[in-house]
Amino acid sequence: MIIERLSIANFRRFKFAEMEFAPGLNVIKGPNESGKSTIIQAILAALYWRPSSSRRDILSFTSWDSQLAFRFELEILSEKGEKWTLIKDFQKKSASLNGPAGVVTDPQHIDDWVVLQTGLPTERSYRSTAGVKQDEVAKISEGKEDLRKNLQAVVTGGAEGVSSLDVISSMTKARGELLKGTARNSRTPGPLASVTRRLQEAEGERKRIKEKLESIIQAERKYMEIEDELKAVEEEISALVKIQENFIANTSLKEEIKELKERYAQLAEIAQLWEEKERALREKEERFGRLEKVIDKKGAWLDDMGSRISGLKEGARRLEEELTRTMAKPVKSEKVYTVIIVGGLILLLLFMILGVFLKTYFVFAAIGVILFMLFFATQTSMGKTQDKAAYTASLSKQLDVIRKDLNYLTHQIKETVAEAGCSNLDDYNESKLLYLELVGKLRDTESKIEALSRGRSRKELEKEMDSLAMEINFREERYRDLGETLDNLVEFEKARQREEKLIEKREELIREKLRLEIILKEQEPYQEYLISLEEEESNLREQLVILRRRSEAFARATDWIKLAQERVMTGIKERVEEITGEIVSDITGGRYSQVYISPEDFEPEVFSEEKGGLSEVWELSRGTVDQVYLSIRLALIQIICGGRKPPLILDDPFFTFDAQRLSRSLQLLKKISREYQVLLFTCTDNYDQYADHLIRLVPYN
Amino acid sequence: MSVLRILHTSDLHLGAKFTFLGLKGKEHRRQLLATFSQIIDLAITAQVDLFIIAGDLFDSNNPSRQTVDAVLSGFRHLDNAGIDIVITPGTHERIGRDCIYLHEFWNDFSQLTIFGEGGWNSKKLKNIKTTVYGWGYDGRHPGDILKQLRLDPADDSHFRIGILHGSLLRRGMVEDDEVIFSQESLEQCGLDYLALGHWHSFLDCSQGKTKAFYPGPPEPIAVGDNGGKVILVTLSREDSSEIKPVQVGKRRFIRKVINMEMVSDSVQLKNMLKEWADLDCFLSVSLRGPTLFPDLIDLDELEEELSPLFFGIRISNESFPAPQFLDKFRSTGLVTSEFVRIAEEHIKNSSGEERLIAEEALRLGLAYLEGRIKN
Repeated sequence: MIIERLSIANFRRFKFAEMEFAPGLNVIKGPNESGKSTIIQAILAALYWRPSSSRRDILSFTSWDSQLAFRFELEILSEKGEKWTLIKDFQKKSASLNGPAGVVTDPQHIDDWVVLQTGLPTERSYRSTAGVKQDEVAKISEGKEDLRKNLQAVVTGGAEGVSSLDVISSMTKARGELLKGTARNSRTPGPLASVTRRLQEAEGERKRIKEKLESIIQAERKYMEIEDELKAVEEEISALVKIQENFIANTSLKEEIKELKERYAQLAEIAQLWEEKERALREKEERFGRLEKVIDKKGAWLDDMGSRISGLKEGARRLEEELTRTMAKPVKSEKVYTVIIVGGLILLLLFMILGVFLKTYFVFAAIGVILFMLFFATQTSMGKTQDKAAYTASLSKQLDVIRKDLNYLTHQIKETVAEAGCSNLDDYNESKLLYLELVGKLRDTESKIEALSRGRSRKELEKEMDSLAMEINFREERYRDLGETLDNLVEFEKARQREEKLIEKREELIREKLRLEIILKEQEPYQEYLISLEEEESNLREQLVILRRRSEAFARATDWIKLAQERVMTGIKERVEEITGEIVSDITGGRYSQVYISPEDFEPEVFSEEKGGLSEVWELSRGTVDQVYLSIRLALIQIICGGRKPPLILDDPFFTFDAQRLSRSLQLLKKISREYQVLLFTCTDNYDQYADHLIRLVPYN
Repeated sequence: MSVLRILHTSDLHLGAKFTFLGLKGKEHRRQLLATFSQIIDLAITAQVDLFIIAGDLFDSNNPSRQTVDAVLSGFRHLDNAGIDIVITPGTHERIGRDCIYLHEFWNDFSQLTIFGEGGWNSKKLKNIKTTVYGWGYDGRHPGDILKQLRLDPADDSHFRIGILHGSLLRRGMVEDDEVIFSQESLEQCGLDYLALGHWHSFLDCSQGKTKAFYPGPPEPIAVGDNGGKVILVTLSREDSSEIKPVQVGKRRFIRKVINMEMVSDSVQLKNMLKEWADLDCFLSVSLRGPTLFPDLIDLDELEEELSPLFFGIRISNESFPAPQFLDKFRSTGLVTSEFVRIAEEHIKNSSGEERLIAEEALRLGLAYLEGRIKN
């Protein structure tokens, strides 16, 4: 690959610059600050920077007095002889590659094309291989830099100056820092040990809190059990209280019901009387209605008539008897009087005898009385006999009158009692007696009603009865609904004692409940703390996973880099040795032709026929060392770039070389420039004679 | 009653653990309680007749006393306002011996109904002429749950409301869960409204005459939860119902995936993340896809720098080096190139944690070899 032309706009000190290069050795000469480094950077930027990149450091390359970003144009002749124009405009953020196949603008395609041409994937890899900086070679040869390290860096193919051995060392160290304190205690533990320790602490703390919470949970279970027990006790107390209340209520209700029933019975009795009264009234109306009217109107007359008829009948009977007696027994009165007179005379005789002998006035008085009686009896007996006939006639006459009256009255009475529904007066009187008896009974009933009802009407009494019935009913229902109760006072006492015991137990349970409530109140902070610990633990575990992964990744990466190094060195060792040997032989005129490189540490050794064996580079002259180093580097370019030949960009690499070393190195360079375009940047005139093309730079004012 | 107003919420997960939030977990737990309180206030202000929690009010059957007290306090306010409360236990508080809903303190609320086990149960709320049918979650139940629902034909209630904590069967997406129901059974169930819970996103599943909604959690519980809402439902006998989702949640737990192919450097990545900056937002970011700067991102540093701008931020790097990035190394045949080849081979032949280790080994190795990490 040959860079034929470079055009720069607005890049650092170059507002605009354009230069052409030739195949072979191009010497770009200019004093300090003339822009040599800028041109090197411009070439690499034109090859590797993407105009679409937002890297801030890129923008700092813009010329200080320019409003526009920079732009490059690079004309390249490929190894196939094709002409390409690569344009990168950082102002427009666009890139284009114009070649035989047309224009390509896809940044990825352009990048791929650059790699294809140079064989070097990045600016860094370019700088590490095909770019040689000022002082680099000189320092190596002066022993200020470790040659092996530089070779390692080249073979590593990573960043400039980074060697895989250094990387392995750094990564091992980094892993060590990461794992510090994990195998044994350390005052300054690494992240893994710190996180592990924090995790262990959190786990321990969580375990402790969990145990504490377990005890709280147990307390909570106990609390719930106590609540259940308390509830059962409360229920039993309540049942006992109820049963006792029932007992009391039962007794009281019984009495109340009894009393109410008595009152009701009284009222029922009154009601019964009312019924009787009504019945009597109905009977009176139905049975004695006509009789009552007759009694009311003619009762008194009938009574009189009755008496009169009785009297008349009695009179008639007596008259009949008298008449009969008078008629049948007319002498009966004379005999009496005769007996009386005879008796009187006997008594008189006796008293006279007594008077003769006793001679007392009493006897004379008695004689006088007897004499009077004899007189009276004699007179009466005579009168009666005379009146007998008259008397008999009179009696008959009287009897007739009475019988007439009696007949009349009997007829009158019969008519009257017929009005009362009676067949005769006796029937009337009998009915009247029954009537009166009924009326009397009615009066009795009324009197009782009046006495019992105490002024209340029947309606009021009935209402009161209804009310009482309801009261009784209500109490009986209550009585029935009372449920379980006690049979007697002994049981009542037992229930009371049981209740007292339960109340004591309830007090105990409440005290225990309060104690547990205090424990449970402590739960809240612990619970939240436990959750926080679990969250922290989870977080730490995640961190641990990440750190362990990183530790493992370090180990893997280290192993793989070692393996890669071994494989690379095994693969390229022989070619590097072969190419380096050829180059060294060319330069040294065949004095040295064999170079060996240690695959482990890149230590080069050169076979010396004079010595008859291998010599380490430090045993060789400075010039030879420079040549060996350059040879290895050029060999690596051939190997690394897969046969491609990127332009070698050398920034005054032999600045401090003495004339002999410079001469030999330039001879080598001249030889290399037959295959590789060389862009040698310098501030001296030493290379002018070797240059195929010379470019002079003018310092910037 | 010709109009019924309902506040429907679910999946509050009070007392939940948030392991991914680290020290912010406690703060978010407090926020859950604050939002619950806000929902109670909303129910009272909106004068709803019925307050429904369709499962997972608590995150476990063993919530802290503070959490329970906060709920009891909220319910007391609802009770005082004469609002009926209906709850069905969810998967996190399943019915069993230790179920939180078996405690006696729930008995203090005259207007609280908690559905228990034993299939579908109903509760007639006479004051609001509504019958609520609920399924208390007590474990896996095979078959279509809604098919087992039988409405009482003699019921003279004006509204029939269902409450269920389960999953809607969606062929090819959701075909199995502990409690599941289909769109067909939903269409035929005869309910006026089915209050759903279990899914952590707002979703309208209405079918036929039955309105059915998942409100999602009022505050996010996991990253990607799409909730933040409760639903205010107004049902009318005249067939003019209104469903109004109301935003109550404060926080958002967002998951973002950044395709690293589109990101050119860490500054651009940082700026992209800053665009989502929100002090109430937990951002979980996955960096995926091929990247051209696989080893340039220090996640710990990035998280530390951005965390003051968010409620929380978690970045996981699942990106992998872009082939063109690795191609640069492949072509040289040197150590770096060989290292990339070995690492790629390991990545290709490994899986799980071993793969993650191999990917990180590749990133670390390149970072060191490229000189971006130096000792």
